[in-house]
Amino acid sequence: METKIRPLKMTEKLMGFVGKYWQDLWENHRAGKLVAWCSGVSPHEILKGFGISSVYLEGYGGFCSVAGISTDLCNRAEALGYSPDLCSLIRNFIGATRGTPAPGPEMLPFGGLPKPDLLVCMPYCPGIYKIWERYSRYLGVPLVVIERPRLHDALGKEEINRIMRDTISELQEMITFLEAFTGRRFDYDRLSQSIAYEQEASKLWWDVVGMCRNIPAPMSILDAFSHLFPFHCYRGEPEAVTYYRELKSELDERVANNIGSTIGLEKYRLYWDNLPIFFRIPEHIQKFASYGAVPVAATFPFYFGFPELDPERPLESFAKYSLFTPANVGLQARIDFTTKVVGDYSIDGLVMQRSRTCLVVNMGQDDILKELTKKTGLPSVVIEGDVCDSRFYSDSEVNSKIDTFMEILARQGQRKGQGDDCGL
Amino acid sequence: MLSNGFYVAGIDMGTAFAKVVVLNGYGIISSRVLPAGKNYLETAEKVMQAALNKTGVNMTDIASIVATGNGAANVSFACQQVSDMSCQARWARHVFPSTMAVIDIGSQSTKVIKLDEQGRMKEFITNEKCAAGNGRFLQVIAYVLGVPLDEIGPLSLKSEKVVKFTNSCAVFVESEVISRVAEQQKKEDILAGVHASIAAKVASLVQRIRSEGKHVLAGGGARNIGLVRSIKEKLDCPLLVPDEPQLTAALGAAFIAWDGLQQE
Ligand code: SF4
Repeated sequence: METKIRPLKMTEKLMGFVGKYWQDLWENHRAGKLVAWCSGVSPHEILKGFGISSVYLEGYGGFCSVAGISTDLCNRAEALGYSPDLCSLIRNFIGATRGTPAPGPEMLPFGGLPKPDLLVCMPYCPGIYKIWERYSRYLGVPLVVIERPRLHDALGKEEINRIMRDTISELQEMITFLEAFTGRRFDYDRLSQSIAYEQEASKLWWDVVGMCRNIPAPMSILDAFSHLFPFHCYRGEPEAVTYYRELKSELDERVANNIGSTIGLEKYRLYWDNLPIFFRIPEHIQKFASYGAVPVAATFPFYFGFPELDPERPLESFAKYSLFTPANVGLQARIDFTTKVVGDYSIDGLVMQRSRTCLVVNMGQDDILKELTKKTGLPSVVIEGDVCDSRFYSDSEVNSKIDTFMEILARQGQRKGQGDDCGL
Repeated sequence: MLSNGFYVAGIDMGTAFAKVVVLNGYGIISSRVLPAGKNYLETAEKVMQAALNKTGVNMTDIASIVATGNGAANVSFACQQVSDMSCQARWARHVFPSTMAVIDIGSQSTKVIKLDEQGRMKEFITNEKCAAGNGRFLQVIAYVLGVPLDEIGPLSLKSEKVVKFTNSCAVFVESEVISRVAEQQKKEDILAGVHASIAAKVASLVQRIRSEGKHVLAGGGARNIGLVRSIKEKLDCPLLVPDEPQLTAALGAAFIAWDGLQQE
């Protein structure tokens, strides 16, 4: 029987949620309210304490990629002289904001980005930091950088405590700067409130991702990548809580009724490594589904949210979030985390996406794969892709690798075979 | 159990050549290679017909056909599609049972297929999206040098001073080759250098997949004795080379067709 995708009702609501955020953002900007462009894990919650609207720029790159315009935008950045080797998320952003020829608002998702009054950067990677430095000069707006050292495995408790103290004091300095910049006193209650929403949304989001442990999984993890967008838009806002509560309840219902993400048997459960290839998410879901395979686990969704956030200790718990997110920890910790995810989700095979222009996430991927293979013996396939630049991606090559990989899995025999064909 | 008199066929629709092998329980009846045309289905029909010519076997006599290669989906008369890597593994298991890996140098890509103890495909790796490590690249270089493709291997063996190429991009190497020609470097030295750069890429794939034991070369690239020698020099393991490496995937496909009938 042909396998078909069973769409989530929340996917229909997704664009409504996200569109409303962008509409409000533009209205705030037009009404003269302050707007900050933010990158990495930047503390949007602190900005809320000053009534500043925030935009998560990497998330915007994801939208452009989903909309199928990111390669065009990368080209426009290259026409300015930027190298095609530069991270495609960054080129996408440059193309959208300064590209030559300049893209019209009708071409860009949500009419583009409103001009910022401030840049905030708590970077994952040096590339991001360097580009904001450049934009701060170009736009003539201040840049707030919160240094967030990458943790490595050999750090002792003392050193980690020192890093925590430094990070907290950087957050405090940011508050001091913003008080001077806005001429307003910081609203700590608003910060606590915002952290409380963020904590609630984080718990719900991690629960949602965790539900894919069920066999059959109620949602493909590739779908989860799209459902991250409300997290990017509504950081520390009640809307994110509402969204993930609704998403969770839809998935709860599927789990209770043993309904999977595809119509037909879920024969193989896959782990997806690294960033999504946003411009091919539906195609990948379909391709795997044609073999009765569902990507059900990934570590990337856990880069977002931190259920241990604490409204009683907002700065301290935020510092912890920024440091201990799986994106920021040492290689051994990444290996351990990935091994745990692979174990928890009853995985049959590993799909390792090598994102061509992101060195940061690629680094260590080979070590992770080697360790995973040693510990689990699971078959794997490495596919080459990119977050935003489709010129680094070949459909025929990736499809033929997936075909071959599925032949290896098929020979090993399906081991789950749960699901339904009730046609819902 | 199927009688040995039944016919099966494997058809490998590669990007440069289409190949067919027809066999029955007694062995290979016929095989044929034709350049891939623009229309995969038309080429498939043509190569199939060419293979059957003078054999006394008709299409209707063939109990099962398995298609593989980039254009496999277009072979509407095939009973099944199987990836070329599975076909290579199946071929190697039959022809070189002690081999632990297949190195397939095709026109479009180079692959290393690691086999398990039973000779089944366990893992695979392919070259990155760059022509510099595969057969198409050699076609371009042969054209630039004005040497027929079949002669580049033997000519390169005459080299006494291998030209080193620093670049790994096919387009840049092509312009480097043109510069070396302008500098009056000998064609055999240039070709030996190109082979060495492809062999280095193959060796790095073998190292990355950590395949050990006997390796077997397959695909059209293995017909080039200059390239084979360069690969042998680079690899730290025994390397087997079949007589007709271009036909290996089609032969593997035919074996899979045969297996399928046996199981029915
Ligand atoms: S995709 Fe990679 S390189 Fe680009 S901004 Fe993110 S971490 Fe940095």
